[in-house]
Amino acid sequence: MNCSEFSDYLARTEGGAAKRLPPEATEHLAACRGCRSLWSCLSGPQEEAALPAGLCDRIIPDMLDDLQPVSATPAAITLVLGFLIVFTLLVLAAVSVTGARGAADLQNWQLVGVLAVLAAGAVVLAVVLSREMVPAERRVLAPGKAAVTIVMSLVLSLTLLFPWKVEDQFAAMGWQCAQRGLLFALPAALLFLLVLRRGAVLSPETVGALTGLLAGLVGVGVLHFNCMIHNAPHLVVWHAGVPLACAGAGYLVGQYLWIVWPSTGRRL
Amino acid sequence: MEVPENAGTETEEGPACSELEEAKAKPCGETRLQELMVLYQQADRAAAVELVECLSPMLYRFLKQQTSTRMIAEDLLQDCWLRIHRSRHSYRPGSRLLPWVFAIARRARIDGFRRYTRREMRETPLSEEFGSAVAVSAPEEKTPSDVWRHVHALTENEQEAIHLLKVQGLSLEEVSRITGASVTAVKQRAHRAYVKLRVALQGQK
Repeated sequence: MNCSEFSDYLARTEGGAAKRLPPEATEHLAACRGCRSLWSCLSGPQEEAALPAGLCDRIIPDMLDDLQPVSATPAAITLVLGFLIVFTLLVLAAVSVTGARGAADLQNWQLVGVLAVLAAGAVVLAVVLSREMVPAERRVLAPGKAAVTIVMSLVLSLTLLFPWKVEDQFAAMGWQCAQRGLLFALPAALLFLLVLRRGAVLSPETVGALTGLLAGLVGVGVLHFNCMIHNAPHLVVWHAGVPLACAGAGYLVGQYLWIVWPSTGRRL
Repeated sequence: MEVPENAGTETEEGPACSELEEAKAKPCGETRLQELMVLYQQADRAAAVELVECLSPMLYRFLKQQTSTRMIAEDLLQDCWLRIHRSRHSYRPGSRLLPWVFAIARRARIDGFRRYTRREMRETPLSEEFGSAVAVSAPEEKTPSDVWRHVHALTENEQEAIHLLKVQGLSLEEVSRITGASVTAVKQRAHRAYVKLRVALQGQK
C-alpha cells in the first residue's frame, strides 16, 4: 500500500476513523511518517465542541413559546400522487373549459407522443420535487439534470413529430399561445405550492424552478389540446417556451423568497 | 416566531432553565435522538430541551468549522434551530435524524455565508478600534489537534466531507444525501482532503 492507496482506504472507511487497520495499511504506516501523523490525528480523541455558555438558554425559551404539535410529512408516494393529481385535474379542467379543437386535427401518434413526454416529465418532476421537500432524502435524479432532460425531450419530440414550417404572423400568433399557456400555468403553480407546504424546502431556488417547470407543463398540456397551429417552430418556441419561462420565474421567486425569508437575518 | 432581539436574555429564568437542568447528562445516541424528535413533533417541551442540549454542541462545531468568528457561528446556530423548528414536520419518524439535521445545518451555513457576504459588500467596515473590541469580546478558539488546524486550509467541500465522515461518523451515503453530491464525489473529496492533510502534516513535522 502506498500513500495514495492509504488515503483512498480512509476515504472508503465509513463511520469515523476505523480503529482496526488491515495489515497492509499497518505496514505502510510503519514506513510512512506523513500517513502515520494523519492516522494518529484522525483516530485520536476528537476535539470537544466548546458551546458558548448561555447559547442554549437563548435558543430554548423561544422554541418552547412556539411549540405546537405537527403532523409528519406524508410518504414520498403520497406527495408524488398529490402533484400528479393536481397536474391531471388542472389539464382536464382547462381543456373542458377551453375545448380540444386543436387535438382533433392531430394525428394519433402526434397526440400520444407529446402527451407521453408531458406525462413522463410530470412524473419525473413530481418525484424529484417530493425528494426536495424532505431534508437529506435520497435523490433519485439531480434536479438540474431532470429539468434539462425534460425540456430537451419536449423540444425533441415536437421537432420530430411535427412538420418544420413557419406560419404567417409567427410572433403575433405565437405570443397569444404563450400567454394562454402562462395563464394556465399560474394557478397550477399556486396549487403546487399547497403540496409543497407539506414538506420543508431547503433550496427555494431549485424548488421554485422545478415547480415552475411543472406548472409550465400544465400550460403546454392545455395548449396541446386547443392550439390550432401544428408547426414545429411554433410549438418549439411558443409552447416549449412556456415551461422554460415558468422555470425561470420560479427560480426568481425562490431567490426573492430567500432574500425576504423570515429566518434570514433574524434571531430565534 | 416573532421575538424581540433581546428576548433570550429576558426570559432565561423561566421554566426552560429547570427543564434544561433535567435534560443534562442523558445519553444522546441516534435512537434516543429519534425518540426525542418524535416527541418534539408532538410538542413535548422536555424533549425539545433535551434535543437542543444534545444536538447543539455538534451543530455548533459543524458551523464553527468554516466560519471566521464565534459570533457568526452562534448566529448560524440560532438560525439553524429556527429552521429545524420550522421544518420539524418534515422529519419522518424512524429515519436517521443526524443526516436530516445536518442537511438543514448545511443549508443554514450556506445561506449564512451568502448573507454575510452581501452584508460585507453593502456595509463599510468599522474603525480599527471597534474591530479590536469585537475581537476581544469574541476570541478565536484554538484547535488543539494538528490535523484540525490544517483542515481550515481545505476547500469548503473537503472540510465538510472530512467533518461529516470522520467527526460525526456518518456514512458515505448519508453525507451524499446531506450534500447533494454523489457517493463517488464524496469519496473523491475525502481522498483529496487526506492527501492535502498528509502533505501539510509532513511539511510541519
